[in-house]
Amino acid sequence: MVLNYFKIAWRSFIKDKSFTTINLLGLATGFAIALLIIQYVRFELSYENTHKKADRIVRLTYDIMDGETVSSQDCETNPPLGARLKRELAEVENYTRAYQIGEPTVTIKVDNKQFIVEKVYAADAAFFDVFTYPLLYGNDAHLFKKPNQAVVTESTALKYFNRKNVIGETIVLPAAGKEMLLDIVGVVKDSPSNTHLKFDMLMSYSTMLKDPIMQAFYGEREDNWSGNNTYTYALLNEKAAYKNFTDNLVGFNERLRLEDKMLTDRVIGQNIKDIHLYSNKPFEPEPNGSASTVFFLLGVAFLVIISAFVNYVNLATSKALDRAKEVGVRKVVGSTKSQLRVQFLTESLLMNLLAALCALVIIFFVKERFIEIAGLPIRFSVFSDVFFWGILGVFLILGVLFSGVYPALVLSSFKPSLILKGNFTHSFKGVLLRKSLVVFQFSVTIVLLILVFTITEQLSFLRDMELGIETENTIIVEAPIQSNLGEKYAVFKQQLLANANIENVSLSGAVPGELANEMSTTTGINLSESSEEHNHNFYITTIDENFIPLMNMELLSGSNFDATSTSERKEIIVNERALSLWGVRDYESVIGKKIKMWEAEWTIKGVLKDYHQESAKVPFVPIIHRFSNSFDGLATVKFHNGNAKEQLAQLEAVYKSVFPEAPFSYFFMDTEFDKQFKADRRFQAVFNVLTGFAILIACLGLFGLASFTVLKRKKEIGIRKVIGASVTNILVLLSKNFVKTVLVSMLIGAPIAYVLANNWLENFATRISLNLWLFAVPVLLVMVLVMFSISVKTINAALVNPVKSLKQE
Amino acid sequence: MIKITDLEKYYKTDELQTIALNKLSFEVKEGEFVAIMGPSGCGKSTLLNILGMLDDSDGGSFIFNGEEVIDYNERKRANIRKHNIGFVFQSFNLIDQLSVFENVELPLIYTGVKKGERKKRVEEVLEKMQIMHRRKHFPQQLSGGQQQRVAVARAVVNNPKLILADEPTGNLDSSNGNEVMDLLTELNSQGTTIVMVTHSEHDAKFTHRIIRMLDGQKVAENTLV
Repeated sequence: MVLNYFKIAWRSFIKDKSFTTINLLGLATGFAIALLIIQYVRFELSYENTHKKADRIVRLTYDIMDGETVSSQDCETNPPLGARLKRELAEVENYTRAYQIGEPTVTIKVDNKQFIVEKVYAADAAFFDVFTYPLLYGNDAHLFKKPNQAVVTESTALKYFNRKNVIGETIVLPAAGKEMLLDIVGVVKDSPSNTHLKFDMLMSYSTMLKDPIMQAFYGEREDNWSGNNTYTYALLNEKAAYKNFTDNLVGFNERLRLEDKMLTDRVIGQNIKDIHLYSNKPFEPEPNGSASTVFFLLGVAFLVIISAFVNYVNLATSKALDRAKEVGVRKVVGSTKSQLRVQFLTESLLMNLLAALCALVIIFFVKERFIEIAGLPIRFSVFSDVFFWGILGVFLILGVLFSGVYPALVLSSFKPSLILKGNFTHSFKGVLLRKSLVVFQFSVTIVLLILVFTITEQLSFLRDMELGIETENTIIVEAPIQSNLGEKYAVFKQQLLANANIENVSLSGAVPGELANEMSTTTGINLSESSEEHNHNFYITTIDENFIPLMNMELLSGSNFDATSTSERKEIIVNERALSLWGVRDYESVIGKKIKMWEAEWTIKGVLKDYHQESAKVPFVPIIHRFSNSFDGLATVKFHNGNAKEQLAQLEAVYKSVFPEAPFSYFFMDTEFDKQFKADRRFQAVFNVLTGFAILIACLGLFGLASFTVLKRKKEIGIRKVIGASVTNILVLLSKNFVKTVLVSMLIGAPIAYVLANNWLENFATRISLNLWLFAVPVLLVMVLVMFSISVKTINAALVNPVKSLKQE
Repeated sequence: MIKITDLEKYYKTDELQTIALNKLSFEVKEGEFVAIMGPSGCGKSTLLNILGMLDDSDGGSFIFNGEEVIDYNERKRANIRKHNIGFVFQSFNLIDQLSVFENVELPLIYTGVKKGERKKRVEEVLEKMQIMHRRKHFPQQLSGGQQQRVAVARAVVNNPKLILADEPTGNLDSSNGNEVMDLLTELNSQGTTIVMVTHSEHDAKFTHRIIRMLDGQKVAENTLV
């Protein structure tokens, strides 16, 4: 019997190829896209899962308080924090610190060749107890017991030594004309893609504290309560409730305050599993994801697959007319209702199985591309993942249930006495349900389209916005690490300026386009004359006299640094945002006034119009620029218009001739700025793909329904034509209902889209306002698609000789 | 075999009620071949649907093989139907997706006949209907006459006691029509009871008795043999 069901199912698929194709395509694309999105969401939710003790690891961060309000936050903490927590809070079993060296990169020397290592942290021995990094080579007992020890990842070992076991090798860190040596004592597996704290190399924390070169650079001390540049992680003991720990932090903070250790900061804890999706504080080790984005995409994927099921239901019930005779005959020769239901469920099972197969083929072909646009790790596994197959199984079951049950009920309930005599035209039962399903599909489509338009518009708005600086034709080079830089920089600059293509060269600690994290921050800076003490976080960077003209920044008052400036003069140039935090509105009179910073007085020399250090996505930050003309950060080279490749080659040639040993590390300012939209663009790309599929599925369903409508009204079309209707008349007649459907869907979809779009826009400091056209265009687009789908079918039907269609009846 | 008494059937729409069968009574004995005739809309097909247990009645009694079936639910009726009744329709009603063989096999599947036995019986009946050579063809590939022979084969494959034929020659030319009537006559001569609805006086002549209907009532009865 079941064999018979499969046979007839297969033959009816073959018989109506267009119906089968539409159904199959709809379901398969639905399956494929939902499966991929679920894999993506799973990856985002899997952060820190590789750390066995992840549930017990808490990252400590600071809330910077201005009175009772949190004025800013900081992920980086003071070195003594961890030890003190362990001493005073019973819940803390262990702690580790991680201090990023070199931000952004570290130059190392292996066999006298210089290389750049991206992510280097100084960490405590406990790092390997808190986090799970099994050693591939080396001895646990000896790790980081002494200064000048290093642990590298497998890839780092391979990259610089061409083999994995590099225990006993020495890495040289050139710094300020001297060299620091690090012994490799361990090799660990690479940091997994799903952890917030990734590294290529670690060095023992004691190196930071004891090595003279590190001391010269960072001056870090074990009891440093004034500078916070280290991440602190606490491992809570098994029994400790996280809540106890956070409760006890209140008293801990109070003790620190009473001891004058931290007057304005408050220590708070967050489980490391919450970092990737829920934490977006200043000085995160890497830009994090966003839970709302992830769950939003999951929701859309869910809608897409429901939409695919809806298609099946619509098409299968529309096909009822074709299948009615079969149902009648089967009943006449003895089939019961339940046997028929099983038959139609079998059919749905077969269709879903075929769709799953097609989905696998689709996934096979789009996998790489999807991994790329969703920003997933390259080794991201799909087919080898048991969960993937589990979800596919769940989809199959849901598919059979959702898409099979209703058509099975409808079809099996036909009365043979009506069907077989030919009186049966179509069932009015379920028309409302079918209409609601179509309205649902179109509402989803309209909502998605409106969001696509909003996202596209907002992102291009941000990209096109005045940043307050010029980013074109600008290349930035990182300072090499070597001695007598001062002299060499003069040569470097001279040679560059001799090139007619180069407009200007400047030095600075940071450049716009980098995350504000690249600058240092200090709190509690106030005007000397002011009696009010505010506690805001100020960003501090160094610039030379060429920086402001090169960036084409606008000075609102005062003057730029000049050739006579020195760092000893303690002059600063501040931006508008900094002044507003001090409550200053008059930019002229503030010139010459003094502020207190780092236990010294600094004179305000100029006021800069606010510029975007980061993209226009985030608000302006308060920036204090002090003068420095030493090449220890970045050199910015501004070219006249020209070919970027040639410019880069010219720059590299000069750099290599002046600093032959140093690796050439550079970036283009405009692409760096663009990088900040990476997450948004990724979201946009994934979302566009999703929407594309959703529209495709809806159109397939629509096309199927249009075919059905035309078929159902074939006789009517014939009669109308005999009476004198034109093709246009018939087109209007048949499209009327579909147009109504779109309008109803618009009424449902538009308000939902409005709320969702506004929600998303709230993520941005500057944003577009929702225009009418953002809503009108998607609706029109859907309307055009609808008209197109219907027209193809209708015009064909309308052109048929009515004699033919009437005769068939 | 069939005894109906005061059988009633109404069709209702929002505004009016049409009487399809108006206290109709008659009897069909085992082995009889009965024709039911009458103008369009007189209730012939309604009657046939009720006799075939495809439709409910709104009153009266229907005794089939000595059993009162009027209040049986769908499952019970389906069970009686599949074991006792074969149908032949004017428009053949073969399933397009199934081959000749599979169409004829279908009733045997629903009555749970084993595969080997099914094959034997289907081949036997196809042989008898002289359509064996077409067993792998699909309905669309056959002429009307051939399709109706397949439909008859399907109707008789389960050895039903009763065949209900609804204008079996209505879609056929005269020579194909005659062939089908010969088939039915032969089946009847082998003991199958047949009730046939027809418009054709020619076809009715093949039967034993003609029941003439008008407006849901029996208006005349002619015995031919």
